Amino acid sequence: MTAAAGQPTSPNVTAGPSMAAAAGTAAAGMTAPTTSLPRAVDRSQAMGGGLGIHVAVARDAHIPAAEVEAARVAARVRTWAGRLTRHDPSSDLMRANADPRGVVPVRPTLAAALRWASDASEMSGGIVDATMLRERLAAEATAPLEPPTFAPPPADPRGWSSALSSRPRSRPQWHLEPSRHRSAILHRDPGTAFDLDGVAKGWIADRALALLDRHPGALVDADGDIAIRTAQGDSWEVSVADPRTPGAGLAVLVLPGGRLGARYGIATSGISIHRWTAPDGERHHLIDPRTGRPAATDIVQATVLAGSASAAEAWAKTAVVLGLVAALDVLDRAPVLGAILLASDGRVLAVPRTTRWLA
Amino acid sequence: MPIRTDPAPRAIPVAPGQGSVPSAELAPAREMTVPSPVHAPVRPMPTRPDLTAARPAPRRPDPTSARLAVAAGGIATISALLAAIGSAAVPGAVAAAPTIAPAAPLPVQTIVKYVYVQPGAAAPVAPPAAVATVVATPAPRPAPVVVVTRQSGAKP
Repeated sequence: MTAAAGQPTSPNVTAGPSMAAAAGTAAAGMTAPTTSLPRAVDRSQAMGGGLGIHVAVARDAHIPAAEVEAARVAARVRTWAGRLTRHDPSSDLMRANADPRGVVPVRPTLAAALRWASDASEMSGGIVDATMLRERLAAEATAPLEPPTFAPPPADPRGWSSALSSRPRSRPQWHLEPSRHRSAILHRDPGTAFDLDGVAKGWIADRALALLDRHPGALVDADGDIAIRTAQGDSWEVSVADPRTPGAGLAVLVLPGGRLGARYGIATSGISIHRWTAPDGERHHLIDPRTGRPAATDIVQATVLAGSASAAEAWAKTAVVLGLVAALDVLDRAPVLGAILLASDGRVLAVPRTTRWLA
Repeated sequence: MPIRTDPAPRAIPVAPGQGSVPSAELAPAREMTVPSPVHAPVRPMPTRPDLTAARPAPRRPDPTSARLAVAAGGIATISALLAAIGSAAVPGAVAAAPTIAPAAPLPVQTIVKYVYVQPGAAAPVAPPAAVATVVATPAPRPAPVVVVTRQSGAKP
């Protein structure tokens, strides 16, 4: 479905008059947007959720052409998602998972996504782990879980270092060997199964945004994980959903453009949506690789603003798994632009530099 | 039997190396011409040390300190052996091993900085070993927004 922006009757018009005042306080030092470029928007479904492709076009541009391009990018996104989903046995991911061999050739899209999964794991000290499919399926099945791999480490405000050191050594090992035409050879321990749900959406959003480089600005919303490029003089406003109240928001972030354009990524991760009740209590889908079980965390939801959607997704997931104190410590030192955390006691906290972007 | 002597002295041929008198000395003396050593460098003849001269006695280190060290080591070894034997003889006794007291970990204080996004929230409760620093309390501003970041699977 496509809808032209910039028209009064369109429900997808991004209103701009309030942005100047907002950016004046939230983005000091950056060009305050005085105008808002017209948008062309395509909304559809992908990856089990909503997919929105927003294109900011020049004022004299042909908006229907931008709508067609947005729809074309959305189709590419669905193709990539179809190769990486764990819900389709015929996807590249699930065929690799079903292959009993330890050495498996993988096609370019899966190879690139796995490379990012490896980078995200390294970046997060092992908290983001794409090899947790069996543990996640066990949590979803609400069957009795296996005992933890080892006792969880005690609460440590230096959770960053403990996250690195307490990683179980039994985690499966794997790596990619480059092959021809951007494909790769996957080397893995026998039985290693991958789940890219925690890293693929942001990565796909970034990849789709790159297809819209010829436009002044663009925004790709992959079911809440968002990649943004803002043109000079323009801005995007993104609301952070409050999971406690449908339709409510915790905050609004204003993301202005710079002289050469500005890149942003926003992602939200949490434990309040995918939850199951098991005989041993509540479970959720974020598995702590240190224990192999749903993370024992006091964060309900974490939203991270970074330079890319893929990085934001990885840091948001890392924050939830680590817990409030360790997350605030880690995010304060991580290369992120801001973060907003909803604690289980209802507090809404943010790392201090987030205030620059708040509306 | 009477002893007779030879009244005329004569040379007795002796094989070289067998007699105590070299055979050349038995030859008649002749005058020899020796080349003049004018152009030859004069090399001083090496002088053999006079072995009969008294030499100074070599200086040796004072053995006192070494002897004391060896004695102390021996005493220590014997003491350790006696102590081990004595403790082993006591039922239930454990030989005291030299222990090094573990160094107390340096106190690491993590400063956690955060802001409250919403005004009116409860007062911050500092987590253990952390310092809560309220930097600012920005007020939310209602604005029409078309893009929302949310958890995956959440209904818009």
